[in-house]
This record gives sequence, structure tokens and C-alpha cells, in this order.
Amino acid sequence: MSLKDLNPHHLRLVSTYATRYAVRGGTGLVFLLVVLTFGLLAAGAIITPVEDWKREEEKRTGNDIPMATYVSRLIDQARPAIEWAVGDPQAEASYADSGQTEEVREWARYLLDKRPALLSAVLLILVFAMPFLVVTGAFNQYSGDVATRGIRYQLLRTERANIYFGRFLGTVLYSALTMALLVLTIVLYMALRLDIYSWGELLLWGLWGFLGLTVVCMPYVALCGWISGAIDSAFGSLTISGIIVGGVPLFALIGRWAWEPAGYVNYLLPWGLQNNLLHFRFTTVALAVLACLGYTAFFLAVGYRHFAKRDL
Amino acid sequence: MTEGKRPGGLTALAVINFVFGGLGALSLLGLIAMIAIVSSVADSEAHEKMKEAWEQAGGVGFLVLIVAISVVSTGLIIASGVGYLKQKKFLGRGLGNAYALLSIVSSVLGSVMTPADAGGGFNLLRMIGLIYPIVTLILINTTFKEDFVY
Repeated sequence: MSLKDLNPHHLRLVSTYATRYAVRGGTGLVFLLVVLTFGLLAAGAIITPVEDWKREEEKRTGNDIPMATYVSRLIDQARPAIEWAVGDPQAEASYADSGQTEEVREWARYLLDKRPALLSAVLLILVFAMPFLVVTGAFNQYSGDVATRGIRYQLLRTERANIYFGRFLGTVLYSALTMALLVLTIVLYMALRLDIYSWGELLLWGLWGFLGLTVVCMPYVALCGWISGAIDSAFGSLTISGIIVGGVPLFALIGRWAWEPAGYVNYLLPWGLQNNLLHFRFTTVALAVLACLGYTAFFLAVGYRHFAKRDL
Repeated sequence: MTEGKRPGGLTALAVINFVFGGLGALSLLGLIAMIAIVSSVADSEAHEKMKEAWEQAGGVGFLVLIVAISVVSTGLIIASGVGYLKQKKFLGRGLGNAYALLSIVSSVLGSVMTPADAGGGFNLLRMIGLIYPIVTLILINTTFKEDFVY
């Protein structure tokens, strides 16, 4: 059982089946609901206060004040928070200074001033939350079928490599479609309801954000595939995947208090660099993309190596 | 599709229906309490703004209508959940469609008729309430269409 067994036709069949029937299995349905609900909640938390603020001010003053005025006031207040989110969370901040480097400040200016600020804030939240959301959709790529022995029927017809990589591709594609639906909904809402940004700005930045989210989800889908292919219990796969995805940044955060280098544990997963997908410098973005693809390749390789040899 | 073999997604839909049905029943209690509050603020100056907003929308009668719709919607979502588990055509797909359509219509009407000061209007947070009915409507008429066999 090697990668030479990969058959593009079988890969396509397995991946399209996995994408189309993700919802039938229940996992895809839960993933869809969780992503849409969380995404719209996050967007609502950013946008709704601005709309409420505008409505109250117009009622109080009787004047029709442009939405852009409120957003520019909000940007000034939100700038330190954005700098904290993309910079060093443990930088020593004061009232007048976020304590971040000039590069981080430039990055925040890029997100808030050169790109649609509200959409940037939503994308930052989604990039942070995507690893947790992906676990709900990718934890059961193989374990359920292995537990019920249903995978043996597929093994009669194709090789393990086609099943393993085909389902990975199918899960990534389904996740991408779900995120596309979410980002498109948010972009359409901003374009139609908020008279601040042009359609072009929103669609371009939305597309960039969607591509970034897709790249972010790939290593985590591969990691969940590795765990799912290694154990027979779907619930066990969900638990272990969740512990690893959430435990790594938590361990890095806590460990850093005691010993500064412990923060590098973040780089066991893409936690340490996934925000760079929204960086202002193209080379940084490109390196982040390559790193995510590298993580994906590593997790796929290790996962397939085990899946190819285990008893199914 | 295979008779008697219920897909996991349909089971998931049923479980989610029961969860939302339970939450809906609890929210009904909150709505009834709100009716009591609105009815009793006639002489309170501090609540004049809320009272004025609700009277513009239709007053206590409007709230009673919301409660009635919520009762029907809660009943439909729980009954359709049972229908999904038993893969019944009317109890599952029929009532599921009825719940989804009622939920969408009531959400749209609520956003139009409720004053903005009282949480009305169309915004992102209200769209969240539309996700599940729309997903239900699409899934039970496409992906799970052939699974309602009894």
C-alpha cells in the first residue's frame, strides 16, 4: 500500500462523494450549523453595535449621520485591540501605547484603514476560531466507518490511499464551501446594509479572507484525519482532536508565564502563524501559506503511514 | 434510499429539533412574562419609551400573536423531530416543511412589525434565527427526500 496506488479517478469519486454526502452523515450538518451560527454571531457582535449606535444618535440629534462616521470612531477605539490580536498578547501596554512593535502597528493600520475594518475584525475572529470549528466537521473522516466495518466494502473496490486522501480532499472541499457561504453572507450584508464600503473592496477582501480560512483549515483537517484514522471511536476522535487543537495554544500561553520559550509550543500547530494569512506583506502571507501546506503534508504523511498499515 | 436505514443526518436533525423545541418552550414562558410586563406599565413613566414602541407595533395583541405562533412552532418542531426518527412522510417531512415555513414567515414578519427599539428590524443576529429553518427546508426536500418512506 503506497502512494503509487493513488488513482485520480478514484480520488475524485471518493472526494466528491464525501463532499456531497457529508450532510447525510450528520457530521456535515452539525458543522454547517455551527460555522454559520458562530460566524454570524461574530459578525453581528462587530456590526450590530455600530448600527444601534447610529440609530440612537440619529434619534437623539435628529440628523442623518453617515455610517462611516461611526466606523471611523470605532476604529480609533478598536485599534489597540486589533494590535493586541495580531501582535504579542503579553506586550506591556499602557493607556496611551499598546506596547507593540512598529510592524504590528503597520499591520493594524492595514487591516483597519486600508481594508474594510469591520470585515477585517470578523475575519480575525474567524481565523482564530476556525481550528475549533473544523474539529466538529473533520473528526469522523474514518473512525465511524472503521468502527462499523463499513470501510471494508470500499476496500474491496479501491486502495487505502484513495480512501484516505479522497476523504481528506472531500472534507476540505466541504469546509471550504461552508466557509464560502458564511463569508458571502457577511459580505452581502455589509454591502447592502452598511453604506461604507464599495462592492469591489468587500468582495476582494472577502475572497482573500475566504482563501485564508481555507488554507487555515487544511492542516487541522489533516490532523483530525490522522487521529480519526488511528482510532475506531468517533467520539474518541472528537475528544482527542479537540484536546490537541485547544490544548496546544493553552499550554503555550500558560507555559510562557513560567518559561518564555514554552510559547514556541504554539508552532506544533499553525497557531503561531495563521494570523499571518491576513498580513500586509505578501511575502509573509506566502510563507504562512507554505507553512500551512507543510503542516498539512506532514499530518497527511504521518496519518496515512499509520492508516495504510493498521487493521481495518 | 434504503428503507429502514435512517441516515445519521436525519437523526441529527431530530435531536436538534428536540433541543430547539425545549428551548422554544422555555422562551414561551419568557414571552408570557413580557406580556404581563407590557400590560402593567400603563402608569410607569420610566417605561414610556418601551410602551410607545410596542403600541406602535400593535400592543398586547401583537404579543399574543407572537405567543400563538411560538406555541404552534414549538409543537411542529417537536412533532417533526419524532417524524424524522420514524421516517414518516407526513409527520416528518410534512410537519418539518410546515415548521420551516412558519418559522421563516414569522421571523420576517417579526423583523418588519417589531420596532427597532424593541429588537426589531433585519440584522445579522436575526438572520441566525433563519439558519436552521432554511437548512431544514433544503435538507428534507433534497438530501433526505427519499428517506421518508412510512
